[in-house]
Amino acid sequence: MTLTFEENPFHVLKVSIYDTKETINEQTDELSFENPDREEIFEQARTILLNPKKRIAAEVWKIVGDDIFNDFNIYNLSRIDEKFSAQNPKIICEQINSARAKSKFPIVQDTTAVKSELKDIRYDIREKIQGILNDMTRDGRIRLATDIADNLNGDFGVIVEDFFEGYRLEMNTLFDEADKKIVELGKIKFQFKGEFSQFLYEAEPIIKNFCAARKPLDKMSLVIGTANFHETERIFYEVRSVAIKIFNEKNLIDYPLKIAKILEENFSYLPTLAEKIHEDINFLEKQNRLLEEEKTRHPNKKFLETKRTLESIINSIDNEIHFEKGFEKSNLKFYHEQFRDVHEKTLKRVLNLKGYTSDEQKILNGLCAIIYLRIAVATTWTEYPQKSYEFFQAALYFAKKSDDPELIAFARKRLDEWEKIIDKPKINFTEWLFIILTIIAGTILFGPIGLITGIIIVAKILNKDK
Amino acid sequence: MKYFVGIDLGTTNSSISTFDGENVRVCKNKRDQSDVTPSAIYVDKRGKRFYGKKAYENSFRQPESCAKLFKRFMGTNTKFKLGEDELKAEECSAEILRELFKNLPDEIRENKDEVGTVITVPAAFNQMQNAATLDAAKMAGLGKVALMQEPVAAIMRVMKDNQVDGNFLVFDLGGGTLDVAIAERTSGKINFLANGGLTMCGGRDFDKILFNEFVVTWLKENYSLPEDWLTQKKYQKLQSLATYMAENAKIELSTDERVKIEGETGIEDEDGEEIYIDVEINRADYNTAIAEPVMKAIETARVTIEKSGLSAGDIKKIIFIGGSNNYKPIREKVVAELGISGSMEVNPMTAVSEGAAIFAELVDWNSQEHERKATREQFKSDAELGLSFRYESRTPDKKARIAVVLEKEIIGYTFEITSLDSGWTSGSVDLKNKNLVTVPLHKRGENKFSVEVYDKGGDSVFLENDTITITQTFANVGALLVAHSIGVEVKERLGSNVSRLDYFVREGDTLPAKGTKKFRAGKKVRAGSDDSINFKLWQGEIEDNISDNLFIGALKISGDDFEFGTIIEGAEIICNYTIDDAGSINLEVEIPAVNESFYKNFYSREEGQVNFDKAADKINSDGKNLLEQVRDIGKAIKDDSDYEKLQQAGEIASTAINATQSNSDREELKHIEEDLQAAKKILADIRERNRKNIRRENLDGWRDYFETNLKRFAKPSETTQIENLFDRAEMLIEREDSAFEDTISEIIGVSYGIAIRDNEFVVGTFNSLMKNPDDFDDKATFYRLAAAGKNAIAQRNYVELRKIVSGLYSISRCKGDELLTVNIIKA
Repeated sequence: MTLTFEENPFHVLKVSIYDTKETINEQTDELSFENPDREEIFEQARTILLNPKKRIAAEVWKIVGDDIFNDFNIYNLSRIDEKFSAQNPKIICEQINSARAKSKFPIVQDTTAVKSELKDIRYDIREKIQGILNDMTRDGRIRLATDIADNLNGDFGVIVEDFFEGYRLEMNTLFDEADKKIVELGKIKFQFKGEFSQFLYEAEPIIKNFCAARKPLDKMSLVIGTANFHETERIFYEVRSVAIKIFNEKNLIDYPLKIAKILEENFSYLPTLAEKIHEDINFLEKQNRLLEEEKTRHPNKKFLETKRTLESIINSIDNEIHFEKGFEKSNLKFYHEQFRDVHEKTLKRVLNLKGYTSDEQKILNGLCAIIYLRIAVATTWTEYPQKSYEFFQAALYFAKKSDDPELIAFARKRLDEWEKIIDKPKINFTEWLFIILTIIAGTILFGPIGLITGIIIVAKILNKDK
Repeated sequence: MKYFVGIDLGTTNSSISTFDGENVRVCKNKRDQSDVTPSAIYVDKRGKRFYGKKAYENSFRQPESCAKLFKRFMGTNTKFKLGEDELKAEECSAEILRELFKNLPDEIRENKDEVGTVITVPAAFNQMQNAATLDAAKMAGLGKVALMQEPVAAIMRVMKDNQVDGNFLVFDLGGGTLDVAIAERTSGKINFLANGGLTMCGGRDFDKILFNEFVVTWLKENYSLPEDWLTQKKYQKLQSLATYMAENAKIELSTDERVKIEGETGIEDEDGEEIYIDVEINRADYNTAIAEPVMKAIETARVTIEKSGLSAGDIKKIIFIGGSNNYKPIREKVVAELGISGSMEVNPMTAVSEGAAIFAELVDWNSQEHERKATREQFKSDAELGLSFRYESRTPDKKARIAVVLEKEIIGYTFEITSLDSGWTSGSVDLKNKNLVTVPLHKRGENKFSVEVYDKGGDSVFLENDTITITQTFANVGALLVAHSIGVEVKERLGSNVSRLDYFVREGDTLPAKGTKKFRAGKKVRAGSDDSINFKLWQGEIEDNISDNLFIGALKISGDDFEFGTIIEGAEIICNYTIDDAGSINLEVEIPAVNESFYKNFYSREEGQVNFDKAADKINSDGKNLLEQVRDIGKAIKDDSDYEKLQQAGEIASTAINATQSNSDREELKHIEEDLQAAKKILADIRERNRKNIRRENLDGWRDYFETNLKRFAKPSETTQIENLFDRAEMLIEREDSAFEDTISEIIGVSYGIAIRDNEFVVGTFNSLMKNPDDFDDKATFYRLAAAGKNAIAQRNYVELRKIVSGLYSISRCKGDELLTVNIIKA
């Protein structure tokens, strides 16, 4: 018979397990008379208590259930578990019979009915736990389950197992949603760079939440030895398959590696998966090293072409520019017709192409620095010192990007030298007039603040010229 | 309701009675003035139907034009040929009910709206049999009808005359069924403590024994008859006549020590000699012949006593009811075996219908569920004063209490209660809240009282309601008891292969019952999809092998049943159930995730019912399954008494395996089916007692199998996994729940995954499936796959063979509805 704490006939009729049939009858009549709406309930309670067989359920509940349910605290689950596991049908039977000797009911012959009632009490505890879990927030449930799982030591009973079953049922929505979203994300075709980032951006929190919720269950499974990690593995392999797809189909290593690191961070608590992740990361890192080495040995074609293009620009400058007097016009012509209109555009185009390794990029930047140094020097033989100054500045910019200390030092030295040689840029009359008027207007309109602002603007202009 | 009617719809005889609140009257059959009407229908050559005695007598001369014993097949698909027509058992019962109703006095028949009828059913009847009885009542057009268990009705009748307190055992051995009930009477209040019974044990079975043991043996010895003469049409009349003679002889044995069955038959044997029956039987031989079913009945009584929690010494007396108890040696045997004195204080043929009529008076016929009337009521006497009276409206006592209920305090008022029947008066009593007056009840039935209220000045105050009616009853009945446990099949946990029964009610729980059970969905179902949440309902007590119980129906909530949303795995399912006094269950399922409630009729009347004219195949298959279980359990048991019981179960299994449609009539097959059901229960008890040993045997078996046959095919990870599972199973051997079986199921899953890589295993599995064609209902697919499998073996196409084996598993018989896999989880 299934009872709950509140439905226990002893509670309903407010009688004890020592009360006789007469007391039960009187109490039922009294309560029914006082509260006719509940007559049916009182009558049912009486029928159970007067039936020697059915009464066992109520007695077991009174002896065991009261103890467990009166002080039911889910945060102390191990205690409930211990209490329930400690129940001994034989002892309960003796307790019942001792009470029956006083209440004058026939004694209970064997423990079969007691065992059956204990089973029902277990399911009531399970239902109660389920109800509490249902009322908790998701995070609260995860925290509680994690705490219980972290303290599992193999010595626990059915109540703890039932807790995790209840927890699993409550968290199923999260698992289900995670599964659905990961499968959906796995369908991305990864044709654009943005799609890789989108995958990582969206998948990482899902994986994180999923694993946090899943971990207690998997730990439980580990402890009891059933090794039932299907759901965790399904998500894991779904994400891993994305990494494999990117690696195989897009010939990329950095994104798969990033995915592998996310997997490492979240799934490593499972030994079988940890091993797999470790293998994956090792493999990807090895592949990465090999690729770098390969690139060093066999630079890629695009880089070589760009390098050749830049070198041909250097050659062109060297061939066309003459560093002696009388060639100002022809140098200027080269600058206008060749360098500005053709070479500089080519340089910008090839430099913006994708697919260079970082080392390759540095080499190309070095070549660009050389190109600008050459053209800067070439233009010193023209009447445009300001242009030369700008080219030296560009040379220093590329030298810095080349990471070549010698080149940087050289470009900086030349820029400094040329700075000393060229005339300081002057501010003309109109500009001075504008500055003075701005300061006056500022002072009139805003007082000292306007004055200060005007001075700051002048300082900025002067500084800009420098 | 003015008239209360009780009907005992019996296997061989039926009766009808009325009750007016004070007196019970048995309504005699109008044609022959007997108290009972034989439950038989006869149709003459012109198609005219006759009922009762005439039909019964004709059944022996023209068996092909008669239907009888249909109660034994209620709730089955077995048909009865009646001339040109074929009738189901409930249709036959409907005709008998109609006929019985004709025996009622005219004033009752003419006021059908004022009649409440209680029809009795054996306590051992299952859900489908109860539903079929209600259908019969509906077809008969009886009006307001409620069902009641026969032993409850019998006790009602007994308690009418017997006003002594104590525990009683009612032993009702009728024409076809045995009902046992134990009730306690305390100060006019009847409490039922336990009930039990057998649906295939009664006078009809004793007749058959007498016929088979004495008449058939004698006929075989004296005449030239073929082996299967009992199933040959040519000898049908001989069989009927001989049965008739045997039945009469049995009645004579009640009074005579020695009887003779003799008479002409008008039938010639194979040599052309006319058969003249001349058999002499003495009582001692007959007693020996019927000893087995009698002992079975006594054992049922013993089990019922045990279920009540009492011992024989706690029971005051056995009250014998039912026609078969007219045979004194049976009564004496029961008394001697149980060690309780016996009594025949009521008419055994009519006690049940009389008790049913008395019970009809207890029913509130205006209520939807035909609940019992309240025994305490409260009515508002005057709104202005805020005055109500609370009183005992029905009591077996000779006095009752009336209490004042006041919503506000009134000072200086008094009241007086006067009996309108005897003139008794309470005298002036202060009108104060909770003031009590005890009134005498002068007669059985309704006692009326008037209430007068006087104000401060002593003037009478007008009251809106001033009459109180209190009924003095023969007895007040406490809650009735559930005869069979009814449960829904659930999984213990998500993904588990092992099911268990979650009971709505257990045998012996009180009726009516209602409650709520919470489950969780084990499968995701989207609106509009073909997927479904499936419930299976079973009747029985076998918790570990659910399919050994009686499948009573299924409930399926599919994606088509709701328009929006998704039921995810783990979604809450709330199941509200009600079970009425007759034990019939109603179910409402609520799924908050899709905001829907489902009221579906879940009875699988058609699928669950068996046609006993075509049941041999099913019985053979059930027999094989049982024998397999017997063998498995046999390996693990140590106790001698269990071994004996196991042997009995083995014998039942053998009988079932050897049953054929040509050699066994429908009654014999029904008997075998009942025996199978009983044997399954015995096995379940043995399993329960020996659970630890059986589990140990099972685990060791799997461990050996893995070590010997599978380890060499297993990957290291699989070996580790399976060894962990063995360790876990080892730990769970003593646990009460199904975690051990769950783990074994996982071991089987992993093992199957390993074994299927082995070609020999696949061939072996295929061959073993081929040995049991009875396990497949879809024979066409079975033979197609069988042919394809043999071909695959010949061609050594093991990939194909694996697919075929999997196909065969998918069509193998699963009790209940094989399309429905239960997918609800215990919350």
